[in-house]
Amino acid sequence: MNAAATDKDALSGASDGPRSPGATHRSSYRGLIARRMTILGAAGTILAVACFADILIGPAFLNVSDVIGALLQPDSADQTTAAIVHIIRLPMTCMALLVGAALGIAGTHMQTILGNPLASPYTLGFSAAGGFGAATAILLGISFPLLPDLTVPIAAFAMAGLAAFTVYGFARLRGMSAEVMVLAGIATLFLFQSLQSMAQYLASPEVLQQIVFWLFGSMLKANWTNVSITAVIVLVGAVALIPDLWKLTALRLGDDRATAIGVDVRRLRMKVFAVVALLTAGAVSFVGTIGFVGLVAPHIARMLVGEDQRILVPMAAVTGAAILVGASIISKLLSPGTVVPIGIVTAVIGVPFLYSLILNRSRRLW
Amino acid sequence: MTLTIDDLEAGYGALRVITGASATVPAGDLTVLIGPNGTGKSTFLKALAGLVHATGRVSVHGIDLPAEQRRKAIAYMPQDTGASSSLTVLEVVLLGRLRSLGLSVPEILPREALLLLRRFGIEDLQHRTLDALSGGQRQLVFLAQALFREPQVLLLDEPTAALDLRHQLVVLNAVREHARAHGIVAIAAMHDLGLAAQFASRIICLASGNVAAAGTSREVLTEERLRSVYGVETSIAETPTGFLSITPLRPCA
Amino acid sequence: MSYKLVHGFAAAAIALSMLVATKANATTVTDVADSTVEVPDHPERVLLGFYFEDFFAIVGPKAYDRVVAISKDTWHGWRNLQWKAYTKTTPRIEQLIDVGEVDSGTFSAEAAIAAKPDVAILAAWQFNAMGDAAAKLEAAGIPVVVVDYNAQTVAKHVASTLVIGKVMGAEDRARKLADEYADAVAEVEARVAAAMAAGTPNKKVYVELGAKGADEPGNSYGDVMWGGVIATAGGQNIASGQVARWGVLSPEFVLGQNPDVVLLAGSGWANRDKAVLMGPGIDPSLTRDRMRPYLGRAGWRNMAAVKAGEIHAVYHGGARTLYDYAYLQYIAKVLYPEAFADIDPQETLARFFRTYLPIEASGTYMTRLQ
Repeated sequence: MNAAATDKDALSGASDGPRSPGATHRSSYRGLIARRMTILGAAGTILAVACFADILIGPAFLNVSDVIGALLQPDSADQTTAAIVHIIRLPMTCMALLVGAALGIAGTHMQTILGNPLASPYTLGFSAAGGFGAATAILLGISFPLLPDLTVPIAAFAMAGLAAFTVYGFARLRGMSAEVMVLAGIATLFLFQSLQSMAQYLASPEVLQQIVFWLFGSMLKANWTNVSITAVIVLVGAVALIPDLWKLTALRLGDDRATAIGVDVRRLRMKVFAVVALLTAGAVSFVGTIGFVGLVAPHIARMLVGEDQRILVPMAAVTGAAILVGASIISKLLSPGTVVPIGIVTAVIGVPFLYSLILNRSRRLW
Repeated sequence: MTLTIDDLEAGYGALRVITGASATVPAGDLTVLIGPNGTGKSTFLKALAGLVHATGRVSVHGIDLPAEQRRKAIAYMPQDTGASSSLTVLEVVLLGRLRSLGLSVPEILPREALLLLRRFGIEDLQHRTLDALSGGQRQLVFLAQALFREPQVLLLDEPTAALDLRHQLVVLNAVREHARAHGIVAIAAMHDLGLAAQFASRIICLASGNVAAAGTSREVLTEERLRSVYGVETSIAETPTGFLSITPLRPCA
Repeated sequence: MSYKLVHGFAAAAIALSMLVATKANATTVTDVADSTVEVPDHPERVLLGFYFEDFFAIVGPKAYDRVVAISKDTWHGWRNLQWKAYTKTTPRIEQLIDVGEVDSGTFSAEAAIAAKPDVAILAAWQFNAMGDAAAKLEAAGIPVVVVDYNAQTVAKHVASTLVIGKVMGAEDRARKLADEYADAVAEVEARVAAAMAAGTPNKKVYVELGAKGADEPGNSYGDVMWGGVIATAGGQNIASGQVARWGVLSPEFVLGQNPDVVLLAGSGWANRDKAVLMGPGIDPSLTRDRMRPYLGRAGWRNMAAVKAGEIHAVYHGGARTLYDYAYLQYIAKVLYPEAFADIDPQETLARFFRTYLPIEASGTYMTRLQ
């Protein structure tokens, strides 16, 4: 009974043995990965179609051939159509895509490092702080001399950064565990939400309206400058954690088991925290606080492709982007005249979809 | 091959839990670590695995292993907290060789993982998610994960807690067979003294932060020892089939 | 990302080509925001954001033949009675493209660009609240001209009028209107100064927006809008120093100040059955019916203004316009009746409408509760 020898035989015989039950099993991990990648690819295709639809739809009723012409050959297209497509619609679609992806990625990582299915990028107060920063900038009417259009986003980003430092500081003092992070984050969240309320209270009616609109979230302020900045942020946030994706998968087993496998849990949390803060601040600063995407996208993605972070993170990015682009399309279709705040639409799309996935019992939830 | 522990001291901050423990553990069979609650069995194992700051000498086969290298050569399997996720069994086992995993997973790894699962008879569960498993199956999966690392030393923290009779035997059997087949050191911390006596070739008894006794089950598991270490009156007898039967009677006065 | 860079360059190329195309036959204008803007001569497609009546006055009865898009809600929603009156004489207005409203966040740069205007004329408050939508219009080759009557200063009124005149090629009319305005205000200021020098006592004035009716206190004005008008008319605005621009004064404070004159600002708000209704087509008795409940406010019976019967209403849509000097005259006359005995503000208004606007001044624009 030489177990070792049998194992070795099985290993060496794998590639050239006849079709035994073992052979089909062995390729099925590859098959599983291939299936998941196919789902990812399908989601990507849906996203691309949605983006195209988003570019097609708007208050000025342009037809498909005009839009395609404007996209592919801007110089020979009708100038007004080209202006609308390139200056207004395309930046908005790109922004929706980027912000949705940022929220999806940040939400996934947040759920992983906090070990909680209810976690979202906003859990630790980054967006509340961003909202306060924006409200203050709007309230005070300040304007940075060289970059007047970037004043509110910079203020929002700075406050979100401050909140991140606060939570980080407290968590670090107490061992950087998930529980401490959540507690510090919730305290920070409440702090900045009440500061936000104070800013709203101090504001005169027209300023208050501006603040509230900012908080609701809107793609309307998208232009190529802030799209480029957001793109850089999302790229950095996405790439920075590539070496750590398997460690994050391991973290899903709990701190103890992850440590036992060799993950430096403390350091991993610190790094991921920084990335989530960056992505969330970037997502919020230009378009306001669009809720729900960061919570729902990871869950939908997880139900479709499982917990392997190499596939889950890109899938969450694609899902988040699709939700936001879809919301943009719906908000444009619903009432071409008025603008429905996009945060409301994301909730309206996201919730039923999540319900339907919950009801589908063949899938594991968390 | 032997694992030699010299004067191990470990703790958390100012709290010193293990104060000068020394032992030698042979390879190729199962050694069981026993001791009362809170005496530091987990800390002892974690210190051995290099997961908790410790002083003292740990050597394998005569070669001194500092903490960094211990982490690579020694696999520690923590107590099961029941925490669940939607990771599949195969993915959990693959995580054992975390360092070898990158954006792509080398073809050979899933194959080897599957062999390990087959050895434990759970290869059909490979795509099942963790929460769809029974406690016994989970333990086998995590055991497979620990063994997937091909460690020189395997440390198990209460591997049979909350398992039913059958799975207790299955898990301990698997550990012992693997230790014998691959010539590794295997130490399991346990509460069940009867099972310990049945499966262990050697028993180390921890009390008050250091090794109170080490030896065969017959040498260590005596009524006086259990009285002094656990504070419990017991009746120990040898069954006709040659196993030690330990019956707890009452706590000592 | 390089894909986006390419499109960024494409957008810039379009913008440049459009600028080149419009170089021919262009006028340079310095607008109220101190920007130098190149507008085409005699634009026939104007996007007008606000100041619709003033535009009529400056450009003449056929003004809206040259307008293609407006921010509809600021006229139809905010000044509904005016809207009704003007659309009756100039039905084309109803066909104009709606580009949305900046304040409520519905402004659509896309709709604006799709309307293919030659020039966009916007109020300063719109321009400031639009963020980079204005930049998008400019990038699409649409020059943006900013005017400001909301500032309620003679200088800005004059400048705005001249700017619109220059842009639309109606410089003579604009000059006439600007001069009339400046002269009228100067006249009021001179008479007020004389009256004050002669020792006529300063009267305390409380102005309140009558949008919510007597049951709920409405906004008062600090130094802007009616506050500014009151100051020019030589009155003592009790809200000055209490609210920065506008805000609700505490009822207690108002009673404590015991104003000599109460001004209610009324307008044609829809669906408000307590509001002080005023404007085109409104009968004065209706206005007074809405004013009367204010006398029943707690403590108002003993207020100096109530005892003296000095409760007045002025048309809110009348401030920040080219004819707001009529209201200035009215308020000055209330405060210094002898100094303004020979001036009839109602007639001033009627004359202005007859001369410059396509509708009559029929309705209630200024009245007193008797």
